[in-house]
Amino acid sequence: MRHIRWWRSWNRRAAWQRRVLALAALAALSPTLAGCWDNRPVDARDLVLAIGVSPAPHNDVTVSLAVPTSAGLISGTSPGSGAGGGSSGQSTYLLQGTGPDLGAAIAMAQAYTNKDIYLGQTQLVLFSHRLDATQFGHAVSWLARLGPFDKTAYAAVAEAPVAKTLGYQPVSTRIGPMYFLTLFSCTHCQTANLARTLWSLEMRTVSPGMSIWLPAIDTRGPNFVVRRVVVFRGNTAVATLSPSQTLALCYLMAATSKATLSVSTPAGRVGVRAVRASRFNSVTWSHGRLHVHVTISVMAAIDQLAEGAVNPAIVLDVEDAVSRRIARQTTKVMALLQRRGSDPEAYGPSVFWNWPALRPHWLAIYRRAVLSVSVSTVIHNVGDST
Amino acid sequence: MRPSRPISAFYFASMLTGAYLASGLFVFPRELISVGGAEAPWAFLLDCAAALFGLWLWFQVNHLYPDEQVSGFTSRIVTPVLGWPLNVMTVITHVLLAVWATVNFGLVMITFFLPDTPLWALETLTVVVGLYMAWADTRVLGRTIQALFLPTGVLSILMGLLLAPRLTQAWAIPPSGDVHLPTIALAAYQSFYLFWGYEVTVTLYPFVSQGARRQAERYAYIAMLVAGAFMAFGYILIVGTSGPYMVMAAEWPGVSAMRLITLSSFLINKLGLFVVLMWSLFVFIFVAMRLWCLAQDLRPALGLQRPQHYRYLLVFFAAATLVVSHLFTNITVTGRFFNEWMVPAMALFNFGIPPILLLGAAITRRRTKVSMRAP
Repeated sequence: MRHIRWWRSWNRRAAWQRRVLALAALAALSPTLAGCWDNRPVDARDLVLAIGVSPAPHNDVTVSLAVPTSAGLISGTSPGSGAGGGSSGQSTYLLQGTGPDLGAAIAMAQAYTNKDIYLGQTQLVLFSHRLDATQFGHAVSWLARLGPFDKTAYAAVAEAPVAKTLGYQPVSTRIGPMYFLTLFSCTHCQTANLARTLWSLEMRTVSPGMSIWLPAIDTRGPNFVVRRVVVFRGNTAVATLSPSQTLALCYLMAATSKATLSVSTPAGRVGVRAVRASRFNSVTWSHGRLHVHVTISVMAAIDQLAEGAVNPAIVLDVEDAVSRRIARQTTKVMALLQRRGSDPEAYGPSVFWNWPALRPHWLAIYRRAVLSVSVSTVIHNVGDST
Repeated sequence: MRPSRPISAFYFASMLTGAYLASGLFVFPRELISVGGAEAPWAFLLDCAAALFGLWLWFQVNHLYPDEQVSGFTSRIVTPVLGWPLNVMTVITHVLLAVWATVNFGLVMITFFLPDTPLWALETLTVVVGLYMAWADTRVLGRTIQALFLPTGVLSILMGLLLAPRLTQAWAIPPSGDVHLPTIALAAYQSFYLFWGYEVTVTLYPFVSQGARRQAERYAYIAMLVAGAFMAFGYILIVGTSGPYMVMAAEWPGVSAMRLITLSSFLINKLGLFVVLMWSLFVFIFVAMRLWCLAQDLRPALGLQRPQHYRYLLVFFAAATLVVSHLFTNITVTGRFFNEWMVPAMALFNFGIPPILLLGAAITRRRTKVSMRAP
């Protein structure tokens, strides 16, 4: 009885059409049952954690890809995988290739492995400080054009050779490149937040007048050391700032979280901590010159007094001394950047976005600009004991 | 298939909004910024005003014969010599609009998500889903659109708010005080693709139940204002996070900006990408509305009044969309074609044809009155 009813309904034109459509839809969707065309089992993939780009002879580039071993993956994801991790063997290995561009170099690296090189999980892109402007520009453009590549990966400059930096084994983590994921993703964990993503790098590459800056990674200690930045003009690195200059630049960019200062006051040396700055940039064009005035507001806590108790006079003295110190440091850094033609705070684009005629002469205008800083400090925390 | 039952004013507004919202979703606001520069916000406002005016114009055409579709009465108003070319132009326009959304979506998918998947597979998927949505009658399509709209829209806005801390290029958001009208007009003209598709009203209007038509018009205007606010919100987020030069450099600035949204502790940590995938629903709605409109539009003109003719036409136009989509193989060629040909064609269609029809109707009526008076 049931099958006769089915046959009748099959005979009805509308139901027939519905079935044909359902079958057609099933046929069309069947290829997607196994995932997509791009689907590869994870054990057939080399999940790249970090990419290093360095120059090679004959104007070529060498690409170094840090890939975790299966032992490294397990130790890196299991709880308590601190120093040593307890498991034996290497946690990462390097795949390297050299070619006229990144694509050719990665194709060469692919020849050294039996798995599919997959860049979608990359956490860090490391540029050698020896890359020239053209190579650096090509590398950024290549990475930017690679659609599935994750642009929230962090970018940095290696002060030591790239391969050595990527293969470096810090004491605090088994998988070297993962160190930077923890370091850069916590915005208020560091003295100053030096995290740069590939996205911000790409944005600065295509935006005229917006200079690139990248943190520099040093491997001379038991862990990576990150407290200096490299500033660029266009795609050329023009200066590596010292740690104190880096901190001054971070005041200008409102990127400090827990900076410390030691200032001289009439009451002796006073330590100040938790220095956080916010800033307001006023960029104006008057009398044929550019005027950049940065107003920095600083909040800080008194950390250590030479002697005696805290009183209002000392607080005022400390506020004054901190303001003067930060103003002096930031003015010096601004002047240095101006001399080198680097504008990491991007004062320019906000001006010539509204006055496009100024854009072609921007570097000359910036070098003649009148730069000034005013700092006001508020001590909001003097500690518990007086 | 039963003949379509009338739809409510709210359905009308949702379907109408669904018919244009996906049009500029991925590309916006590149042309606005690259042509308009610092005056782009003014150009965007001009676009919104022009779209509202355009909608009003098409409503005036609908008022001529409120119970008939335009393809049915064009020949009567402006003689078949002009009426038929107009109908053919409507068909070409709608097929190209479906192609525009299909190709854009397919290219976004292979660029950001599935680089090894063939473009035809993604395009077929889009068109087949659109076809399936339009397969049942108008009310069902309206209900589907209404059900999809709210979650996708709300999620997009919530995710967009997560971009707020990344608004580092906020200096580029406010409009320039230095106003150059030709620049603003050109930028508005080049980026009017934002509202391509609202002309579907001309086919949809007769489906609204008779008592609800005034209300439907009011809802359509309100929905357009809400869609405009949604786009303005997107503009602020995209320009504020990317800066104007990056917007000009990116093929799909909105997708690039949404990719920045990450929540490291959440199950799906790339939430922005999840939203971009959800936008595919807007694309399916857009394609479904085009197919629906093509099939419904041609029925009176070709005299195909039997219900199953609607589905034959649907399948025919879905196939046509797929075939034409295959001609566009990358975004540079697609962008150039649509910028150079489709932008002027759509401007002509939306702002040229309604006045011709209205003028034609005025003349015809006067002639009818004269001939009635003559004996």
